[in-house]
Amino acid sequence: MNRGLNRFAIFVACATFFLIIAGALVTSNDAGLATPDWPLSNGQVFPEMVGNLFWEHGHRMVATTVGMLTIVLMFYILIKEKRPWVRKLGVFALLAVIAQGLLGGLTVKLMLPLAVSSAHATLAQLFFCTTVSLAVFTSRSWMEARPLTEEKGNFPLRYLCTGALVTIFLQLILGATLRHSATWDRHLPTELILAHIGGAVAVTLMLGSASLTVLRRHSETRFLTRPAVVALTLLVVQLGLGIAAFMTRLASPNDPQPLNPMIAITVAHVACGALVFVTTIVLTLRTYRVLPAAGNEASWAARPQES
Amino acid sequence: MVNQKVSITNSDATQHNIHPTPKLNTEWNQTQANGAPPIEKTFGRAEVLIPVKCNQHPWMKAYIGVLKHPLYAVSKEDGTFTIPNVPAGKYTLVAWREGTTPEEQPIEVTVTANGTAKADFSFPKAGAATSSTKPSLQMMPAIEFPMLHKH
Repeated sequence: MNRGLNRFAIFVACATFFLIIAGALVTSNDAGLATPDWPLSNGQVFPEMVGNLFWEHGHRMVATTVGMLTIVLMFYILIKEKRPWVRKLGVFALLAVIAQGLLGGLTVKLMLPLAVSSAHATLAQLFFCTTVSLAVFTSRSWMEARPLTEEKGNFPLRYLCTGALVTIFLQLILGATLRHSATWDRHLPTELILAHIGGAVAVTLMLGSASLTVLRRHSETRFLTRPAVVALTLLVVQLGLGIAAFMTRLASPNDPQPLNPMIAITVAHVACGALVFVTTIVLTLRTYRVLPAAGNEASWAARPQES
Repeated sequence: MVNQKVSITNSDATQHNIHPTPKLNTEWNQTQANGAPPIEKTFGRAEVLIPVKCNQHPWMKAYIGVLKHPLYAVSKEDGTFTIPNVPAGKYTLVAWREGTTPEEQPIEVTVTANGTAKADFSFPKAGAATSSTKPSLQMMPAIEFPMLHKH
């Protein structure tokens, strides 16, 4: 285990989270087209940060920084890391951030088509998932030899967590589509609102049952209970933020949005959604690390030198 | 009017971008610095109304009406309007007001040769028209935009 690599991977993951907040601020401020050109802003590398240009160009600057950090991270991994699949994941992270930058440029050039903007928002979450996974895979808690924990139930916990993870990802896609389907001065599509509410119910059931099962079956294994408790807490906060965003919009149909309360709540909802997602990733990866696969005792946990 | 040149100037001390979001015409988005030359554009299809926004200052909003004829008016502050030089005939006069759900009201009018016709529109109070919920902020004054369509 290389402590420097792990710390740098954590730093890149934190920078990515900041980038997601910066991107959410662009959408909430309706600043996506504050400049019509890309990659320059109004033909300049550093334009005057007037009005919404602060959010759009600021997002581009943070994104450029994260892109540079990802390049450094990939080379750091290629130099220090022996596990081939971690090395591949490092290369994938760089490809993902390049694709994300191109999608960002494309959505500006095409004037925010729903499909491209939603894809940009979704890939942001996948890239965050990748950087967090790299931080997990290079951590001491992942690398050190761990005894295989016996699965204390009929249904394998790792599948339950994977199910929760997939449900959250689908909900993130729905949320991104809903968010980019209408600007503040237009009505949100009712069917998308209903789908997103349905998704919230599904996530609550899936993540709730996965986390509670972890707490019930493996209460003595802090390696698993910690992310489960964090995920449950974030889920409650996220549901509250979602309801708050909905109620705020309902209560102010004629206000000249975006106003600060609306911006703050929606950005917090996006940021907390990303945190729910990555916490569930950590939980899921850890179940794969310490719990045996169904019918296969020789899991990842039994081969620490490979994991 | 269709294909009439629209000249957009920026007399502010800061830059803006002009971003019409039409449904029938071509969408465009262009930055205009303070003191920059006017942006001149045309719209090739009749469209009422094209929202125009500034993405740098999202509270800024305007509308461009593109008609096939010159028979239109923008109401004054007291709500009155005049459409001069209307040829005799039977028309449908449409008034439009902005809002979260823009409203339109048509009225049938008949104009005689060298005569005048009167049309009174009445919209619900701004802010109460689209929702039973009270607005949490004072709505900006309504803009009424009567237009004529000859049968």
